[in-house]
Amino acid sequence: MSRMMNIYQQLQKIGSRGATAGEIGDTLQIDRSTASRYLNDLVKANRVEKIPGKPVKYVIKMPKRKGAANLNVIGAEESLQPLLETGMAAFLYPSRPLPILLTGETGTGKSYLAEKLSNMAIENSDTSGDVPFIAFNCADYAQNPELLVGQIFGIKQGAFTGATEDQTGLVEQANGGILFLDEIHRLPPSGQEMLFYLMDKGIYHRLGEATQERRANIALIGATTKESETYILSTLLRRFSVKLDVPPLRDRTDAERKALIDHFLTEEASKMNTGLSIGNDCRQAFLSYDCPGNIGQLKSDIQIACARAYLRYLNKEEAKVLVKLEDFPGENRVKSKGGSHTYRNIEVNHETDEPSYLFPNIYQRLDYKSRDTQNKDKRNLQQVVLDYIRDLTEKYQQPSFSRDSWQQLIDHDLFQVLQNTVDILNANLPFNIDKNRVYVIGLHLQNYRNHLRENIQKEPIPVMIHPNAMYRQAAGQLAFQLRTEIDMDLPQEEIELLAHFLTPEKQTEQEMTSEQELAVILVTHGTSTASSMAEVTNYLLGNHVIHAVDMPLNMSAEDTYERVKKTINGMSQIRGVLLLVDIGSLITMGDTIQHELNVSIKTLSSVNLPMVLEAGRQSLISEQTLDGMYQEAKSALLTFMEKDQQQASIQKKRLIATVCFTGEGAAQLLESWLENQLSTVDQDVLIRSVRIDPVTKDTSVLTDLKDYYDVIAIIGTVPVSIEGIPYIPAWELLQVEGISRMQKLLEITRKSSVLQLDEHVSEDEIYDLIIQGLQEIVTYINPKTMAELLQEHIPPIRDYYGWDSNRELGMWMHIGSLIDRILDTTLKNQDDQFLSSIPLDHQTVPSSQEVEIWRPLFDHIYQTFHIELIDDIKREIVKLSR
Amino acid sequence: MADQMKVIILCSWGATSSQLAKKVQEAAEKRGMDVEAYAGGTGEFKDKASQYDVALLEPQVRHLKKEVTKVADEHGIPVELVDQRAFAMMDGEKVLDQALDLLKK
Repeated sequence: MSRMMNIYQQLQKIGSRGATAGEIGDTLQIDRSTASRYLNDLVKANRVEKIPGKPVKYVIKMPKRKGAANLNVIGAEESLQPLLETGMAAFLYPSRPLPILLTGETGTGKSYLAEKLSNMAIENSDTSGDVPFIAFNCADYAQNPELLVGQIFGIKQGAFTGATEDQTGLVEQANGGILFLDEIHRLPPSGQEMLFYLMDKGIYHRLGEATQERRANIALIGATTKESETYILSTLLRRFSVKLDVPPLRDRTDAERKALIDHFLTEEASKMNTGLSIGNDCRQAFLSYDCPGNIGQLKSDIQIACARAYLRYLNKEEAKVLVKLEDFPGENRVKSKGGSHTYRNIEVNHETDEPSYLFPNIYQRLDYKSRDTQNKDKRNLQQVVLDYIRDLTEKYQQPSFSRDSWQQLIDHDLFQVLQNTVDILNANLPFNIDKNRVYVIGLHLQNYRNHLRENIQKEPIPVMIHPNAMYRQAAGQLAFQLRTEIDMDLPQEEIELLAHFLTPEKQTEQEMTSEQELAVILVTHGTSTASSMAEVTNYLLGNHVIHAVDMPLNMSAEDTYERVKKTINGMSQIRGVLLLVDIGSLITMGDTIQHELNVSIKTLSSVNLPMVLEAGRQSLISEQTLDGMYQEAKSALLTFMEKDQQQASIQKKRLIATVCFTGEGAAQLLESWLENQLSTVDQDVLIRSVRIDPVTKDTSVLTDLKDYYDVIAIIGTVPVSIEGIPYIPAWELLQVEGISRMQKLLEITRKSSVLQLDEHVSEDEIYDLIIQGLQEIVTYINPKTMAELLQEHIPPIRDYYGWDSNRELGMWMHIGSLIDRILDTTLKNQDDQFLSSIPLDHQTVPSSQEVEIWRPLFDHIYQTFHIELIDDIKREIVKLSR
Repeated sequence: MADQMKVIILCSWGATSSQLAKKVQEAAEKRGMDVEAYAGGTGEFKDKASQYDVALLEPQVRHLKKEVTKVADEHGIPVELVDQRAFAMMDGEKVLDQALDLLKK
């Protein structure tokens, strides 16, 4: 948490007596003046008040302090107090709200608290306009991670089949307000990455949108359960500066539980047109029963009990709505003690501002039914209540318990084995078995099992040997699992049949269309990065076009290499492969494989989602070439990257090492030959000849070079293997293909490193660049103001003198820093010293035309900075301009 | 590099170049390199050229490159224009890299 936040919290602790900057500084062990600066920022942000005196004291602004009580949340002054106060402080954090992560068991009221906190923040915000609050439960789309990401970030028209129009995402809707994401752990890793990018930079992209950068300013609240926190990327987790743990119902005080029960009963009572009472024994049951679903379950249990009681009332079994112990839906009912049939009336507070009718009002539904059916069809009413109870029960079931229709048809044990085995197979096989296959095979085997059980004799099926050994092997493994886990012994013909089931449909039909002639294989570090990105893309494109190979941290480069090879081997009739990789040795892997497998392979590194999408899209174009696909995907990468990212880090210089046994003969020959081969954009590449001792074969020189240079290739007559550096034998280089391989290596490495020189700044870039540059050097002027002023006035001047972009850029900087210098000297009364430092030239005489062309700029400078440039300086500028 | 490297950054009279030289100096110190970065106008370069190892020319005086190169050649000093982007962002690190590269060539 930031320092300002610490100070704010410290002041909160101190309370109404306040503290001086010195005291705060001492407690937090920071400099007094630093503390004072932050305190004054807090005063400016209207969060802290100054108490005049000597020394000045600071105190938390009171209205905010009352906030916790104002929230009208049960427990606000007891078990929830620390949580609410920190939450509010985070929201009211000066400049912008800190992201909050709420953790806690199911039903503890995370969404409720998020909404309460948001309402409070919205009420307290300075802006008078509408502040949106958008709440969304990621579990609603849990079955479809891609659509989930699309919901949150929006989808671009045409991003996939069916995306007929642009779809705004929740982020856009919540812009300027609050976005609450419940069950945030259900976001796939790619979505989590997009989210923390948004938190960091305020920038996001809609799905399928590579070029347009969108901005949003949102306050984010996430919620998750403790156990699920492990599904959240640590990078995302870290960005939640405030983590709040919502206590479970069992840790709340008795008084709070009482208050909650009363609150929910009151809520129910207010929906009825008649009084509501509850038996003491029943109330006692609600107070003491084990309620693992926490407040959520408590609420729905109370609703169920009330509905049952209301039904009796409607049936005229009772004159009033009486909630009795028999209505209590909990399991461990407290045995009714004799004579405890006292009832407690529920006071209806009609002013309650809780219109949270999450559930349809059951009482109205019942009323309507009973009016409607004059003959008082009890069964009918019963059905309404039963339906209602079922609705509620389902709502509070853990999502993992929910069974869909498929599973009801397939025995649980069988389904379990299939699912596990397919997971294992997918992790170890070069091809991916679609999840739907589990159901298909499951149905088939269930049928087989039923027949066995019922002893139905059926026609033996012919043995159909699958042509691909890989699928047969997988089928064998599946059969083995079934035999060992659930004693299901399959005859040989069934096992052979399974191989066909495991094969993706497209291949069984032997329909390798032109679409698949170009394959895209995505290989990245991490357990699921590649597969998640592939999943998103395949979903968006409605086609299985991206083949993913994950490279978990413990997997060696060799293993990955083998898996990629296997994947390629598993595809028949492909013309070429585009390898999309992230970093490291993966970048050069394609070159080696290309030689071993005799398939054209191109590699693109630093892969990101837009690139994968573009590559996938291109691979569907039937007449597309590997080169074309490569170029398109590459440009998707570049458009996505921010300019400053492109040149963020200083790159090591590129180097090609030439090797031979002497270090003089072949190596030097190669060196000079290579030098002539390098294109102008590769002039930065150094070539170094290295001797490899024929006896020791010592390569330490090369390893050393690797530390100082980006060694992009080793070329020579002695095969050497250094991890991550491709070796090109000299003989290969002398063939056409050899050069192209080297050129490609140059090209891959060029992308990131060449921006140092030769990269000309275009005119529309000047403005943004200059702002950053001026920021580095000026003291007084606002770089943005200056840049705006120059942008307005420089173009006619530039055109007059016919400056190229170099000189224009130089003049922007020159004038910008000049004005700052003049301000500096004026303020320090050093005008004379300053002027004497300039080699003034009294001979330059601006022509009348020049005077005219410069006048608007000089006037504007005067208006903005109140600086009248003296003639000598104007002359100097004119002279420099010519 | 055993010896100290002296870089001169040239502009019209040292206004922006002094700022940029400061940035380069900072970058060098951060890397623990023995570099001395100077700033100056193109006018005075003629007389002082021999003191430096490498010269960089700011873009606004690009049109004077020929003149400057002539002087520099006499003293065997490599000259180049400051990389535009690095200049625009007053990026001392990059300019230092450029000077180092230039010296190697």
